[in-house]
Amino acid sequence: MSFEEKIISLIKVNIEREVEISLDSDLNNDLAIDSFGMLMIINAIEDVFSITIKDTEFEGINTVADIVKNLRDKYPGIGEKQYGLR
Amino acid sequence: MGYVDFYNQLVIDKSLEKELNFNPYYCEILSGLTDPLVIKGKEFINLAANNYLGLAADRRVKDAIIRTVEKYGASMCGSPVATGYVDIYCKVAEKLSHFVGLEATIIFPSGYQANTGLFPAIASKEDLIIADHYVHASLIQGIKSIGCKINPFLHNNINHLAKLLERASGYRRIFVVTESVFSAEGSIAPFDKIVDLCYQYNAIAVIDDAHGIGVIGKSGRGILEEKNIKDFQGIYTASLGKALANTGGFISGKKELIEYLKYLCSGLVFSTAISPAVLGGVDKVLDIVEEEFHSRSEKIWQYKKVLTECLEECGFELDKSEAPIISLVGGGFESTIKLAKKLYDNGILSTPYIPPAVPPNGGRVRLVPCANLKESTIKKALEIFKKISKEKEH
Repeated sequence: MSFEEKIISLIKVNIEREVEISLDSDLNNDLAIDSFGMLMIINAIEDVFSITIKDTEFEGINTVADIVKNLRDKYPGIGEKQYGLR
Repeated sequence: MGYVDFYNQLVIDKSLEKELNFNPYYCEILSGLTDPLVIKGKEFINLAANNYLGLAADRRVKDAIIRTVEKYGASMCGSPVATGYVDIYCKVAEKLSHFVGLEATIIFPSGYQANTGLFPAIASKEDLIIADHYVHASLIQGIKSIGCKINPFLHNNINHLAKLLERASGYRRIFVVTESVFSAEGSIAPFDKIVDLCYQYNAIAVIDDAHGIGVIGKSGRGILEEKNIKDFQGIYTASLGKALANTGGFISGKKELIEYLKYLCSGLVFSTAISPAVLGGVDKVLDIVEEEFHSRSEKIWQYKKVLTECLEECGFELDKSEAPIISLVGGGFESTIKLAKKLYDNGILSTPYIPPAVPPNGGRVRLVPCANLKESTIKKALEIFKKISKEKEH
């Protein structure tokens, strides 16, 4: 499983609706994720990757790809050691 | 800069209002919650209010309020710690405790204030608050004010909640917060199971029964009665402004909790107390509920049944509501407002829910068939739904 796939699978189990998710999925329009829903996803990411995400870090995030890029930029090598994700 | 810059930022997008010549919010109502309701001189079927048992404009309640005003005047002009703690406050607090089956109660000027005031008094940064994804804005506001870790769980999803509780460690205390009836879609929390999980993981359950009290439970006592929860050890909040047909909110629970909040809940201590007149109204409503709940409740469930069947036949998409609430799926912001306008233009007042009150694209138009509505009014509503449906087809 790639890092991208891991993020998508985490989102899948932390949203209310069963919906197809891709890197291009818009968090608001396609996945109907509100601020409390986003918090649920951030908490899941924190748990899985043992990181602490600051409140401001996910500001301006619109798509699943944005989450992946943001995490990679801020946490270089994230997921590689624990899960061998790339 | 300064004032000009500040006020220029305070902009509400009213383009859709201009386009539709319709704003469903802040309608100026010229009557009480009567049947019909009057707006701009036009009569409406009121399916918007939370007046479930239909007691807000009941003659007996009005008379009780008038009598209370005669005795106490308009206000006690002080917080409950000062001059606001009148005998009728104590009487109604005791009556509410008895009604919901808990030890003690404090009453707030609003349910919102009860919920926002509760958490700063009982929680701290070292705590974890786990809350249902769809809890009310007042609970979210209260929870967020603590600055502690917040972990939302998927709506009414016991398995998800269990996983979060299992993983939680290193916190001073864990609170699990939810509502009984989620009013946008009419779902009911599996609160008996939530209470069990809280025992298992040493967490403290907090329930907001705003839309449950006077509505669910075999004698209208709310979620604890509905789910047969005995000796509830957690924290219970509810509204006096919905089925109990007045204004205000309250917190009930163990004596220790209430005694603590009486002195350390800022939302109570630093606010002018609820008006005695309102308490007179609540006092009377509780008496009426004791005597008339069954007949009134039967009516609202019957109304819900016929309205739901008709709406489904007419092709409206409905949420699976477990409460006497009908929730029409509206979709996006614009389509939800347009649906509410269609109803409004045909003489039905509804409540459109748009983000952020609901998730993005999760717009709902809520209909609450209250017990004060006449059968002829419900029949008229059915005709209106059929008419709207036919118009959709053409």
